[in-house]
Amino acid sequence: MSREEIFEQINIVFKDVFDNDDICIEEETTAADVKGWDSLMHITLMDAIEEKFDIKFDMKTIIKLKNVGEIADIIEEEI
Amino acid sequence: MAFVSFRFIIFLSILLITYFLIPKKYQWCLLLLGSYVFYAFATPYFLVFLFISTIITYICGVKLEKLSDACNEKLKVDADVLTKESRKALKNIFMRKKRFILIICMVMNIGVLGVLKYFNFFMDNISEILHLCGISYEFPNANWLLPLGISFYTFITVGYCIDVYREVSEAQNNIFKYALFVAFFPQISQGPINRYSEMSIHLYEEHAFDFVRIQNGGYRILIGVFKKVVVADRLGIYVNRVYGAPIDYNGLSLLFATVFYAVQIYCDFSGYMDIAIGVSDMFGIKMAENFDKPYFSKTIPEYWRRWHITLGAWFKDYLFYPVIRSDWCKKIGKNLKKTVPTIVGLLVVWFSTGLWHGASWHYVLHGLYHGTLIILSFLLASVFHSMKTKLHINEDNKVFHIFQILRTFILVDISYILFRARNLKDAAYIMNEIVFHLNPSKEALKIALLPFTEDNTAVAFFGVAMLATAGVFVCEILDYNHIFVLKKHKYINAVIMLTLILLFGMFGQSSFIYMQY
Repeated sequence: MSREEIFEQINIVFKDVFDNDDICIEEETTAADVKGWDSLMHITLMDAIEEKFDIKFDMKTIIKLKNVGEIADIIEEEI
Repeated sequence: MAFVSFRFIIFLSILLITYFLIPKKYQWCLLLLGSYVFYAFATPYFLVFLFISTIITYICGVKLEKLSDACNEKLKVDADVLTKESRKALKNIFMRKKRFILIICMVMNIGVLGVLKYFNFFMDNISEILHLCGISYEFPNANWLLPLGISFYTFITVGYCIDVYREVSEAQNNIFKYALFVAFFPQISQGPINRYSEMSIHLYEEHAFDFVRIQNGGYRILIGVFKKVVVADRLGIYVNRVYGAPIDYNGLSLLFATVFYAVQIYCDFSGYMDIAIGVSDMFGIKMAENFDKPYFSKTIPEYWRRWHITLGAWFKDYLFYPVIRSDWCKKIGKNLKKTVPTIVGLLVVWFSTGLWHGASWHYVLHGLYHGTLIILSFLLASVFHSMKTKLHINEDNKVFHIFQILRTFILVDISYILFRARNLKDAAYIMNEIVFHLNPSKEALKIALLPFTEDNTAVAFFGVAMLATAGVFVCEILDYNHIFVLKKHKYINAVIMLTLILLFGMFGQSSFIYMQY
């Protein structure tokens, strides 16, 4: 799967989790850029991404994630 | 040693002068010595508990890092031979060993806190259960004092070990440097609950004398002292009288006391933080902020992201995430509903937050009250959203923001009744009086002002308290830094602040509310 395809898939997850079709994520997108991305939604989002790509994030990743680009990095590494 | 005391001014002055006179490479050693002296002034015998916690978590941190290094080394050396599955299996073997060490460390540390803080509470509840079963037996209560700051330094040390376990943070191999991180005097009695990865950046480096930094630290201390002695301790007189004997006061007095308590606890706790952070800044060490104008929050979840920030972050990272990500919780989610693990996680966190504040059911209820509000806001988010759309409410409208802020403050203030009341019976009485027997009238208002001084100076006392409170919140909106950054006004601001403290401060009440937790 190419990075662009990964981003497309992540964007679908974001739209679904945050119930917002206007979301358009980029490499540098952070929690501050997406309305409602708090600690509760963060876990829901991580679970949804894990399910979508059949991977498992460790706790270090969940806590230390800086932006969507890092999520894509891990997915690229794992799949 | 109390922060607002002459003794502390002498201690801080000596420490600060020596800090910048000695060779810079010994600065952290002096801070360690100073931190232990500070602690010994309060409770010298309890240094033993601090030492034990430091040694246990230091050893645990070093061992955990060694295991992580060994695992990573093996993965690196055998990178060509290992398949994806065998890499996973190898990681699991090391993970099990690390988990064993972490569990032992946590049991020992939280065990000490648990026994010292919750023994009587536990035994009293056992007695109650036995009584319900028809067995009458009273367990003897242990008459011991709680070591200063144990709830805070236990969380700091346990957080450090979990971070090393997760490889979020490196272990500190020098036990004395680690001891400074645990005992650092501005944080030891009331937090903030600092993280090693953030603190270690400044804690051990060499700091040159910087007059501007000392000056800014001094201003921050003055703000803290003002909040504490002019606002918190003044309102505290009223709150203590009314909450000490609620049955003696009318509904309006109980309402005033409940609102005043919200201001008192904020100015007391955030005032302490201003002093602690200001002192730490003087030494060139940045500590985590614990407050971000919490009473201007629009929702309860937002309030908890802005009130006691480091405690909330601790529970989120070290309890909520592990619970919600655990296999058993996920299984529940799969079998029942996806939202169930979140609800379970939130209930565990808010029960623990309540219990952390004190060994009493009214603290637990206070925690669960907030937990319930957060769960409801999580579950009903889509309902609220569609309601707003149907009612054509513009979320960016300022009037709507004011409504949200007031609503959040009222919800928070209701919880303070549970938090401040001596017991659940008092809390129920106070709520009942405020809701059903408020009877606002001129006569009731006159009576309601009396608890300040119990004579005809009460109105003046009330006026000063209100002006000082308004001053604090106006400065919060304008931002203290913005006010103090104006170079021309720096000294004038300090002189005004000091004069107000000396004129209107309530001296003699040196302890802070959160010290008891």
